[in-house]
Amino acid sequence: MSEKVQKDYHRWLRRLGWVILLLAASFWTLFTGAEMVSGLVSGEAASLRGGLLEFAVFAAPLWLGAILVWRWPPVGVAWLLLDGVALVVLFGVRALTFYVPPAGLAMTALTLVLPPLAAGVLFLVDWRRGRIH
Amino acid sequence: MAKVRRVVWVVIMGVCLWIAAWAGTTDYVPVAALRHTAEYRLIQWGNALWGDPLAEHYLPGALSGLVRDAAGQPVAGATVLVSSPVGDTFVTKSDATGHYRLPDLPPGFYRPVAAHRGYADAIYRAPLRLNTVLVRPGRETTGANLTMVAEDLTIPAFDAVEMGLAEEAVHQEGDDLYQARRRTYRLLRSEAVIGEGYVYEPVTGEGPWPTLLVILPGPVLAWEVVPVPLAAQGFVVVAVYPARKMDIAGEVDSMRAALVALRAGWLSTRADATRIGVLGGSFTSLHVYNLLQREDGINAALVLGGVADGFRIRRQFEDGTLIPAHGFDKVLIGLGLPNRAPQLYFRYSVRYHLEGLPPLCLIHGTADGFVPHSQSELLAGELAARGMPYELHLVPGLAHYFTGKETTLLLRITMDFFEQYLR
Repeated sequence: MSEKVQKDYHRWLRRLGWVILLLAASFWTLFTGAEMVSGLVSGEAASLRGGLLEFAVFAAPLWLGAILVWRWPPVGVAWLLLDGVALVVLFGVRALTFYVPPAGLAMTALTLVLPPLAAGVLFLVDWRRGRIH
Repeated sequence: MAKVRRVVWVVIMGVCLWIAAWAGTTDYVPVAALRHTAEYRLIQWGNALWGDPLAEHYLPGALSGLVRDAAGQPVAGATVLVSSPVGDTFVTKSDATGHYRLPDLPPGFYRPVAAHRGYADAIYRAPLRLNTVLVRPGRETTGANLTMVAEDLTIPAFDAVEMGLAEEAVHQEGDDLYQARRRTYRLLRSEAVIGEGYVYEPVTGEGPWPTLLVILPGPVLAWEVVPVPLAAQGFVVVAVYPARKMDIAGEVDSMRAALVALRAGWLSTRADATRIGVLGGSFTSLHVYNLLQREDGINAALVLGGVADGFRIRRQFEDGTLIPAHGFDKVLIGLGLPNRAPQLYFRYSVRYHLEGLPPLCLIHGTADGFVPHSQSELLAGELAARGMPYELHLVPGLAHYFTGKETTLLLRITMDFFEQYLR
């Protein structure tokens, strides 16, 4: 593989990782933000609390992962992979105890579990190859 | 060198995966309890994030399978049960071909269990499916087969019975003074103690007297309020305290060994071992019921504040109507979710093991905040539906732990019951 092709390859891995990570983080920020705003407007404390909790568990770790990947790639990679595994365990226990319809399983996997895992793996491959070559 | 390192990593990963798989599926109690506690916390956190999954409504499904013995022959009349994650139970009986079917099940994961007298409880095993079956909306899941093996009723062997010297035991209850003769006993195998307790006999008379095995919730000498008055009324009382708290089956086997010694005349020469009653309460109700399932030749049993249905306890714990005291909530959580780990709830729920029970006397205080009196009412309802002999005494205002003023009433009920079935 020529040096140029390798560089392009790395750049695309990184870009794809950033797109997945930022898309997922933005989606969850928007989603949970809307819930919090709705809670504030309607005065429903439960909705506000739920939105805050979801932001803390779904969105904040992705933003933190983005900062870590930007500043300290290996730490960021480890953080994103751990976040993904933790979400697999959290949702997995639920999905193996209660009935979750296939559509619910797919949606959760696509929007919640896969983004940190996929971004983490892409950054990991990019970081390892960049370090080796 | 790099190749060796890679192999080492693969081996390490393999071992870690194997340990994780074992820890994730084993029924070994210390590991399973930790796993169940972690699962429970994760589910609580998941519910906080995603809401209560049981609030969703789906079309019901059904579950069916066969109950067979170890030789592959159908077992008819076995009680088959599955439970929801919060303890709602669904029960049926296997037919003459061993087939069972549970219709109208909420979709979810279940681990079926089955009971039949003479067999050890059976539980569904399929490690590759995490030992559960999935029931989907509007569909029937088939092939949830259960294999029942004959219960191991071996009584622990002992080679010596060591009796202590006779002492006088006295208990004062109001104006009444009760007296009995007390001796310690120890069952020994190769000088190791496999069972111990106290034998109380009436002070006067020659007998033979009917025998009561009293299973106390604390050290015997601290609970003489029970055995001394009973012995004074003309019973030989064998009093035991199951100190190995969670090894109920082991304790029950020690008691069965004591009954062997009693029948051989080694514990008392004045006991009539053909007329035996058992008495227990609260936690030791589990021992009483387990003993009745494993031992023939017991003529009557009395249970005070007993547990009859562990699934119902779990249901009440989940919906917040029961807050178990003394850290028992941690025990309940450690037992696991009843849909995926129903075995201990089932094993110690006499409500689903009624075959062969002798006449029962159930006493429960209406102010019992530890074990709800609905437990005894449930059991009484089941016994009544089967035409089995029982008495139910709901004592107004009686809490879980009785005090002096209630002792006289409880003693009277106990005496009346055992007089009826043992004299």
